[in-house]
Amino acid sequence: MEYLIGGLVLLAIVPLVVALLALELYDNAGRTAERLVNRAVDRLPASSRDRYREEWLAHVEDQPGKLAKLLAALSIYRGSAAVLRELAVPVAVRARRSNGASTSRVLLQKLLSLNFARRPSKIARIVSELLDDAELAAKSSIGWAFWIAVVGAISAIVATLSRGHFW
Amino acid sequence: MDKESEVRLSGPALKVLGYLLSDIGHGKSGADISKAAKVAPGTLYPLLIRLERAGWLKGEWEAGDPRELGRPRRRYYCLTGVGQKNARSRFDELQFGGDFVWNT
Repeated sequence: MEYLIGGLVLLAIVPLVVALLALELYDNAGRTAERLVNRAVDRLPASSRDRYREEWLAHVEDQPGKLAKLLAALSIYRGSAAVLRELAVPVAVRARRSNGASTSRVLLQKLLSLNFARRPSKIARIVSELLDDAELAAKSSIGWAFWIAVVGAISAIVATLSRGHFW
Repeated sequence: MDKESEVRLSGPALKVLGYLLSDIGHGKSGADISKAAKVAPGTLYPLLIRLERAGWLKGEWEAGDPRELGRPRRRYYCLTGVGQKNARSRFDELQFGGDFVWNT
């Protein structure tokens, strides 16, 4: 009898809690969408962030309804890795086209060949590209280190668990 | 390698180009393109970067101040002359029996 009462109470409470949670999530969907866009933008090089933040927030803003905004933001977040790859392409292509030297080396050579006093904007742009390069390299290294660590941890767990079975 | 050959035209790219070709006079925002061409924003934006870099598209910010508009500015995209020419020639290659291959 006690189990029956407990079950009935649960049947009444669980849908109520789920409905309240869904309402709460729906109420915060706009803010969550904005946060997702900001997280997506944070993955990009510093020099591109302002442009894409504004463009993507405008995209999210144009969606009718909170759920549509959230879905658009999720898609943008998912696609930001591809955007990062696309933004990384031209620098690498330029470097390959010049003389096969590394990107940063080519940019440094350009920087050293410029007259610092006469071309401040060009120098600023090259420095910005160099910083982007460094940032992309760091992000890429962190990504690889993370996956190597994950694979290592899984291998260690599998090895520990299977020790008794195989040897 | 010339600029044109760098552009890999996938299904979503053809949808986007087809939509932009249908109304050349007016710039379209990312949200407009995404909705009309049925391409998710996560697929659309890398594609727009690629097309803009190749010189097929030109992007321009909406006129006005975001504070006055009360929202972030949209970026409007339209095909350049080169983009129109290249997109049309690609569509001509793909056209079969009076209809586009991807519609059959």
